[in-house]
Amino acid sequence: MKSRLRLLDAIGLGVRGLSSRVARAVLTATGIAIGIAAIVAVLGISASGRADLLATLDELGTNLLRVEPGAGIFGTGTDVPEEAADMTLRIRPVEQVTATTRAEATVRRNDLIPELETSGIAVLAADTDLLAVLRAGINEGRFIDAATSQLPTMVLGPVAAERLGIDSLDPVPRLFVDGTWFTVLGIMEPMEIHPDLERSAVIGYPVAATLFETTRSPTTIYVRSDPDFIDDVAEVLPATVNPEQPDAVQVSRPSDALDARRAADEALTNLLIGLGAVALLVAGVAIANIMVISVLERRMEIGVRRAIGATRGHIRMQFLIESMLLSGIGGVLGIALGAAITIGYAASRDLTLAVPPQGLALSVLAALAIGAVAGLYPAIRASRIPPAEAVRK
Amino acid sequence: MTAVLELANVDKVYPGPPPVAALCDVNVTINAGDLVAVVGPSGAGKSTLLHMMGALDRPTAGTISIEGVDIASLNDRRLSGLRSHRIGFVFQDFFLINGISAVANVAEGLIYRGTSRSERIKRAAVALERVGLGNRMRHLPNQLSGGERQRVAIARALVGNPAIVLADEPTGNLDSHTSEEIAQLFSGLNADGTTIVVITHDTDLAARFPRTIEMRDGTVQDVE
Ligand SMILES: Nc1ncnc2c1ncn2[C@@H]1O[C@H](COP(=O)(O)OP(=O)(O)OP(=O)(O)O)[C@@H](O)[C@H]1O
Ligand SMILES: [Mg+2]
Repeated sequence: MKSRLRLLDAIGLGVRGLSSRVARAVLTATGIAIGIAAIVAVLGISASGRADLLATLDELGTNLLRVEPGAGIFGTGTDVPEEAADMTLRIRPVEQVTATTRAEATVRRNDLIPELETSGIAVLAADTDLLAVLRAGINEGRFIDAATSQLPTMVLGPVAAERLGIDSLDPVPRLFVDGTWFTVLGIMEPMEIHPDLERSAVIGYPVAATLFETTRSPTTIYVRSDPDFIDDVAEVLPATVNPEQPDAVQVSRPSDALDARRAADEALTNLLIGLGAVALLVAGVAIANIMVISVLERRMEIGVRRAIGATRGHIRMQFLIESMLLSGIGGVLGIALGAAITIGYAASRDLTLAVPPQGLALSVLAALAIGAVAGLYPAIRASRIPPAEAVRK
Repeated sequence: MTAVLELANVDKVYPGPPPVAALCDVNVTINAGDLVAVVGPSGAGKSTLLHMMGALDRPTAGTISIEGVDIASLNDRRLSGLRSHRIGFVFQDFFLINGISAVANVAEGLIYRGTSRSERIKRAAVALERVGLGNRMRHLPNQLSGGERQRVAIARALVGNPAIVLADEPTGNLDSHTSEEIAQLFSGLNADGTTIVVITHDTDLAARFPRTIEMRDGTVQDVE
């Protein structure tokens, strides 16, 4: 003669226990729902944001080095050897090199504007493969090529274009550079990690040499290297590009900025998840609290159940299931809410949606675990009520 | 005659402070087919005795055997098993579960036997017919009169065909007419072979039962 409670019946008892106090159940589950929703939304939003960040990093590559051979002392690179860029190609792992040199000239919309008001737009002489090496693109028009490098033509960075009030190439805009009218061939795409290029007007080396006496002594050299040897390349670059003043050379890795942002994003994500976890903890305490009250209120029911044959274990299980149902429902609601927030956010920011499925499964498990832990003490308390006392009036 | 229940030298002391000796050296035997009334003043120990008989509590001293099994040898699980299979309780306040129908309440009497839901409902319907409530199956407890509720509670105690039904003042909340009906129900069930022990304050009701146990200050005074 044994007492036996089918699992399905035990779950049925839990459901019935909750459905007899619906408002209370909903309020209690809401706490869990909010905590889980917060975590899911944070995970989802940061994963979606990170997906785009990683895609950008991937696209731009992390093997690009930016070298400023004369940045240290004079800032203009006048002492930098003209062959500096070519020298870097001799470093074995270096795959591509391109250079820019700042021209002593200013861009103006027309000849009536005083020379001093130049909106901080630099005129850069550049190689024709600049965009190819940077893996950047043209928004409109085209970049300078071998032919147009000889002519007074220019390509604008997106910020420069905006500052100069140029938003279209039709009709073909013309700009005034130190006495010469330049034709605008194209506008570059935004380049998050090359803000200096976004603010510049790029012209060819030949025309720069002709009109502004710009030499090939580079202000900035961009070096693509075999990713496995990038640190070695960075180490030998100063002595290669400026043997006389290696200390004046600055080498940086533009993708580091994105990497740093990713790290910052991760730190923020972890912080928010921590806050979500605190919310869950509080919700867990609320569940425990409600379950203790429920046990006190249902003394009679517990007594009757013991009288009709429930073991202590059955009573414990009933209240544990009830508590886990409570948190489980909260968890499912929270996931739905969190997913909705993520989808809405990703849509509004045009991000690639990336809701991690393991995260969702983990959230439900976490909710159930919270319910189990929160329900444990009340369930044990319920099971320890002496049946004879519970059925007394 | 086979003894369904045997209490020998049973003491029950509720630990105080101050400690209360609710039962003192009680010796009672209930045989199969008995219909017994337990009477006595308030505080005499009637409910305590009933809880001992139904294995809901353990004695401080003495032995209690249910169908020959000494309950001292059983752990909580076995004791619960014994209650679920062999004992039916009826309480003064009915103790029905609100929010579920009469037939569901009766079916609850089988849930701790692992009986399937459909089988429970089937047997609950039979038990409700037996107590004369075949026409009230789907009613909720708060849609039933006191007498009807107590019938539902009796059906719940009967549904598993227990060896003994123990009722603690089942008519305590009912008027005399309804009490009479419940008394008749017990007599009828007893005639069909159910062993029943009923605590009552109603002397008229007790007088109609073939056997009466009178209690006073924790002792059994008189066994007719
Ligand atoms: N849990 C308990 N702790 C201490 N004393 C208790 C406890 N339960 C019952 N008692 C005492 O035991 C004695 C017997 O109680 P019991 O309930 O068995 O009496 P009764 O005959 O059923 O009374 P009534 O007719 O009022 O129901 C009483 O004095 C009561 O106060
Ligand atoms: Mg009593």
